[in-house]
Amino acid sequence: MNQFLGGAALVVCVGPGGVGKTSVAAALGIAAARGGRRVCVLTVDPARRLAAALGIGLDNRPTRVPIDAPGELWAAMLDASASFGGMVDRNAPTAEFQQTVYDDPMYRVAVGSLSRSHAYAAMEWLYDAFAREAYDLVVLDTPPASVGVEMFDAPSRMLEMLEPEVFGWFIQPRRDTIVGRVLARGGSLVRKAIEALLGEGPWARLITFLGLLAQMQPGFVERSAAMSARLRRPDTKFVLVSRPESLALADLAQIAQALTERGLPIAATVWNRVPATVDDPGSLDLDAALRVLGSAAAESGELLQAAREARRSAAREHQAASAATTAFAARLGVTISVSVPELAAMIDLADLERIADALVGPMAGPA
Amino acid sequence: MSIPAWPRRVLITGKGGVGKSTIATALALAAARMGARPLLVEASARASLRTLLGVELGGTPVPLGDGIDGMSLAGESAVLALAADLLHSRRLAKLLLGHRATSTLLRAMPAVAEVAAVHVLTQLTEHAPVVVDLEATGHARMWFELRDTLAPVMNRGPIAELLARSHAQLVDPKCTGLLLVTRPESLAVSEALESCTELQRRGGVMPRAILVNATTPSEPAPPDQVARVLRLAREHGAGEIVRDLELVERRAVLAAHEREVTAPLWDTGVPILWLPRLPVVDRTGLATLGSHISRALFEPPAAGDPQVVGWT
Repeated sequence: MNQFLGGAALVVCVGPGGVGKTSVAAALGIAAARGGRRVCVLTVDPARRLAAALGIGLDNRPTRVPIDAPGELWAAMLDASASFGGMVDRNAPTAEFQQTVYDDPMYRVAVGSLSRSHAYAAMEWLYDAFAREAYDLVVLDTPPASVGVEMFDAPSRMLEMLEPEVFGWFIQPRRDTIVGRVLARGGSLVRKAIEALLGEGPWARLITFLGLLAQMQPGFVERSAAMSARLRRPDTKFVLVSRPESLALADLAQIAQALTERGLPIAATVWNRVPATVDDPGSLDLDAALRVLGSAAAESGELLQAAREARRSAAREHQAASAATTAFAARLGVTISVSVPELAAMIDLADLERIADALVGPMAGPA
Repeated sequence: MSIPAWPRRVLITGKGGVGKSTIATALALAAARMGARPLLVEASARASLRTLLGVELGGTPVPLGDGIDGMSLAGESAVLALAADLLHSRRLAKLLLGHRATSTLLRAMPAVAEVAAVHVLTQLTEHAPVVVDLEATGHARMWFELRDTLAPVMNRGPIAELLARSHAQLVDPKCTGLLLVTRPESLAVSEALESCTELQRRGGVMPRAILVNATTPSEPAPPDQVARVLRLAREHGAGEIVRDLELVERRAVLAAHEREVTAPLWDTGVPILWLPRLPVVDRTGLATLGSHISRALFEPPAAGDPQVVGWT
């Protein structure tokens, strides 16, 4: 895992909800900082869990996290409107134009609380960080499951949208070519339909908004193409994070497939909250047990039985979990697979440091 | 037939991995047992429901066995249904979605999938109850906030009207019951608390109940008895029995920790239901779990504290 982190420029944690992706992302950040790297962990999580875990306030601008390591650990939480703002500032031709965009109602809705906006904004944030060469490594924590995977479609969706035959259709139907005439004629019914679908006012606002986008189009196209390529570079590593539970594994299999379909290779799996090993001692011989313990335990037969049953069921659970994770990693052909034991609570920096220990070994130990 | 005490629609939300799909399936199976015609709906394409039921769900209801039907709101079919209803023409809607520019726009535009999902959901009248396995809380909250979020650009027109209608249905407790699922873990609890606040403030809705799922089973005996027998076992060198009882003690510590981390949930004033960790998930077990939830939430409370409902 150490070597793995050393060779990566972008580590993306994906996985079903509730498996501790955010904690694992932060722990990977700690581990890399211990290896001397300048790391930033970006979370897209609206629940502010990373902030709680790291004990600092977070926003779009990274905050330095005080840890004892030769490298640096920074953390940021995605703020969609700030990321979009930055994108507009960098691409708008004039200051007046920036303001026009900011005041556009469609823009304000788009940068609001909508999930796809977060995907675009995350890609923009990453682009900016890489363009500035601000860090050696960025660890990205994604939203759960399908929403998380869809995020990686954002650059290509944006690219598709900005293709002349798509974008141009909304802005100015081309009538100067045969294709354009056919498109315009075939388009008129479609145009009426989409106008009817959205309603007159929203349609007009959409056209205005698209017109604003059009003036920033070259910058957008370049950035989307760059991010699309960045996600597929060999130093971008996708890490699957999951709990060893059957439903989480089912979600994980679906996520793995979705990544593979998009040409995004999986570099490692992290099994979080793996229950402690419990062996199965077989069924209890109650008479023998009571003989051993003597008369003082005579009334506790039920307790002894229940305790043995509880242990046997925990053992079965543990066996099932380890069989499932082994089979999963084998099917996927992933060679790096690490387990993080269950901790009582994962809420402070010390806990995250312990996860980092589990991932790459303690700092003082062998590298 | 619908079940009088149930809302027409039950929406299940909560942080990822807390057991939303399990609880949704359990409720649907229980409703079928009561003679209703339930529909189990997945809001997004996730594997959990498929794993539980062993089937793929599509854009229209299909029988899943045991008296329940199932469908998915994910994918293009909901968008097609929305467009067809608004344009009063399925042909025109297909034309829109088949057209390169407009279909790209609809895919790239935020909120289109959500508007379509909410629309299709509120149009489902053949079944009752409709049990919806919603996405993780943050995303699900969007359903309740759609009307207000889109108001600045869609305050008039067909979509605005549609959103106003569906929002009214979503926040009407007779039409829709929202259940918030969580786990007895600090992060899950803090997210549940945040969800309650946000749902109320921005979505205008409070959950009907908070379900604390996968709780550690209660101890088989009082702690002092466990400690006494454990001492005996250590004295007599009964190693296996010592390990059995140590596990019981660890669980007791865990259970106490769970009670402590879930304590802040009481401040919400929302009824809380505790559900045990289920090791084996089969349809019979799920139906029993569903009946238990139904009795606890939708049927008049029996004697005892009406706020807490334990598992018996």
